[in-house]
Amino acid sequence: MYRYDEFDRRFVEERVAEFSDQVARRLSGELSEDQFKPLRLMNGVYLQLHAYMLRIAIPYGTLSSRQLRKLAFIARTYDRGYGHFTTRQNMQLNWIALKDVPEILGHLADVEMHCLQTSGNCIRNVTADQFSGAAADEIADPRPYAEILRQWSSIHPEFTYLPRKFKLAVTGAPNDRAAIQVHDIGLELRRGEAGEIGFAVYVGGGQGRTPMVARKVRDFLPEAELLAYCTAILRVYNLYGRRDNKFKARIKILVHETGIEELKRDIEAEYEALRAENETLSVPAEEIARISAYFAPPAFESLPERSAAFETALLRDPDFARFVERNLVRHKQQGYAALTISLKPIGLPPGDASSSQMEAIADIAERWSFDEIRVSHEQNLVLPHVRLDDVPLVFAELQRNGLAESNAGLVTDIIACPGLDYCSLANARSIPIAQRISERFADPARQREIGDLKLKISGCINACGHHHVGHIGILGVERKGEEFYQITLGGTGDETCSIGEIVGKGFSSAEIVDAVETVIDTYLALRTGPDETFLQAFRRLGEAPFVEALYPAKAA
Amino acid sequence: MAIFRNGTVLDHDSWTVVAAGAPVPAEGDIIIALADFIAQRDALLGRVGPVGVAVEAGEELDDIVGDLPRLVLVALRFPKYTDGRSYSKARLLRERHRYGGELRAVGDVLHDQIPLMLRCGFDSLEVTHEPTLRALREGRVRGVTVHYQTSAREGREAAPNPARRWLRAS
Amino acid sequence: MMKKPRSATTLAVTGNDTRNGRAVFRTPTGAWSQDVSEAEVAESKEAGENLLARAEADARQTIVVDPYLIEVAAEGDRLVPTRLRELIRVSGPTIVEIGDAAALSRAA
Ligand code: SF4
Repeated sequence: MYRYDEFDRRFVEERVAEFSDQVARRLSGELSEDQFKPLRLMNGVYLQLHAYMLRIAIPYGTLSSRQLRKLAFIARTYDRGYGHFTTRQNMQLNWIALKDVPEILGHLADVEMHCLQTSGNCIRNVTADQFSGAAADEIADPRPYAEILRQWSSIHPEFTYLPRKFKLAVTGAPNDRAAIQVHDIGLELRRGEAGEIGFAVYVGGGQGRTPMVARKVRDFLPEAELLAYCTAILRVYNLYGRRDNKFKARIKILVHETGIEELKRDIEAEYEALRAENETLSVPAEEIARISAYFAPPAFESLPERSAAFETALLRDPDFARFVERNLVRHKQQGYAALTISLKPIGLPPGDASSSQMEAIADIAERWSFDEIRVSHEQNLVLPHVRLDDVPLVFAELQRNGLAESNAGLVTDIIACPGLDYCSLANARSIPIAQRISERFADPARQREIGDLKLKISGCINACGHHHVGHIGILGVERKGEEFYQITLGGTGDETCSIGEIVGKGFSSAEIVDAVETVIDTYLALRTGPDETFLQAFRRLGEAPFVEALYPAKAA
Repeated sequence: MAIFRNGTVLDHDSWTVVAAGAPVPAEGDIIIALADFIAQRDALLGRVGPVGVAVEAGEELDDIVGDLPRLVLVALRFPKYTDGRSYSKARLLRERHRYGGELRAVGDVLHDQIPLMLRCGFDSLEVTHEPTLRALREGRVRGVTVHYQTSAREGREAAPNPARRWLRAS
Repeated sequence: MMKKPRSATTLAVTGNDTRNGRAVFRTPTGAWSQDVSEAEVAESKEAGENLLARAEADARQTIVVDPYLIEVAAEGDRLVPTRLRELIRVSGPTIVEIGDAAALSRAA
């Protein structure tokens, strides 16, 4: 993991002091709410329905046990004893008092964390694959690059008041688990002809009101050019992104209105000029090596490919076998595995963990996963490096803490935003819908029969719940004071990225769970076999059979 | 209204802002809108007194780039403090076009953005917000003084760790 | 569940407490309370505007943030907001929170 040096420590300490001063000036009345709002957002402080909300940055979703324990402590001391993990790998606390925020920032600084730029019209927390450094299909660990970008974007003097928020994501593997094509800048690590590292660069993806898949602007950007190229993109966006209409201010609209070819020429011209005038924008190989050293693989033992303890448990315990089937991911190191800890127990709020659960997970990670925990954009946690021998022990510990739900990637592994239960922008509730769907499909055998299926729910068009890229997406809307839910089908955020299509008019809260079941039953009836996933079937069949099943009267 | 320049608040400013389309006074330091400057360029550059040009957030720099050596001041507007275009333009003026004259931030200039403005190359600020003026007078506008990027103040910021080449301290 | 019976429009003014962010309602004494039933009510559009103006003055004094009018209905001796959003602001999330019991009750 990255560790702060003297400089980094001073940076967060001064930042705590700066924000504390801003809070004091707000409470004294020197700053009006209009003047304060962008400042508090820049520090992840929202005003939600019930209280202030604090969004804590978890850069590229990597945590140590010590950090997770601190999050548990903060949630218990200053909030209601739980936190919510978000689709941007951050953690939110829902019941924070503004006057406590400076103190909380101090606690976070103690464990090298902060809330900087988790909201606001600036460069947001950089996200990455949750299996970085562990996944068998990885070309290189994306986290060193994400860390370089984190530093570069922190209080950037030029890019702190952009037209709108700006999100970057990096994947180190060709199987994209970081949804890079729905980010403002998506970076895919690649190797060039001589084995050197670089990036395919995508620009202009995003969800929200006008969802768009990003366009590729570079096939191969050498790693040293990362900052110069991103600076060029940001400068073009800062100067020419629309500021007359909040809904047209993301870079995706600039790409759309300018045309990708022209915009690419602007970016390339800016990039050439920047390279010529600022050599500090080129990242020296020594700096990449220095940062990469923090992310060097832990001291793996050399283990046999198979583990007797693991295989015995597989045979003896069907619950364990189910857990392994869904929640275990192949590791690049022989004899190890990465494990998903599902935060989607049947019938409970997706992505929430109590302080005691966080502490239990920190203990498990310390003992069995080299002290590391990851947060996934699917709102789950991950133990990245567990010996196969230890997987049965870890499973037992997870079971004891109610954390062994074996549903990773299944229909009940639902992404849901906070929705109208917490969020002041919401049109409808998300969490209760997620809970009811997960109860409807609670039967493990039925979930496994349905297979891989990503169901994603947002409480409004801002799409924090990523519904546009759900195989089944659900969007909450308000109609005449009532909650309604629109269904989209066929979206995906992976390397075959596509935006889901709206199938028809929305369903009431009472109808929506049945509607989801109708969609799933239609898939089960029409798939060529268990090997054809929902997404594959949808791509083969198109929306017609699903529309017919959902709206029988219209089809007749 | 007051001007913050070289670390001090000045209550008097030698510059007169000429309203858009208004006649240009024969003498004195004047700041003129970009459109008027373009229209009367030759006359203005032949004038005795110093000329500054005010550029709105949505206007391009192209029309003054060639005349920069003869412009004593360029004012870039922040129509709202959340409109960040003038940060980029300030850097372009300083770092790409090597502008060496006075670069003034005008408009919604507030306490918490000032450290960013200075790093982007502004060296004078027109301030109307009272609490901000007070904070400037009392030396309370600091921001975070260590940085992860170089800025338009290269040469005036320390490089605390040569191994991490873009770190700066102001 | 969402539709509450109502007669004439009754208004109250709400905002969030600047210090702790909690949903609060302006009472007839000019104080702000977390209990909507203590809210001052306005029975006409003009009375509502007058109430909002006083709330906005409080906002300028940094007491509350972003005040606005909501519709409420009398149910016995209690006041209940008519919109679901406002109902949730008053009564809390409609879901089970999974926090540690002690922290949940302390912060409630
Ligand atoms: S999608 Fe809408 S309702 Fe959900 S968290 Fe985002 S803004 Fe709130």
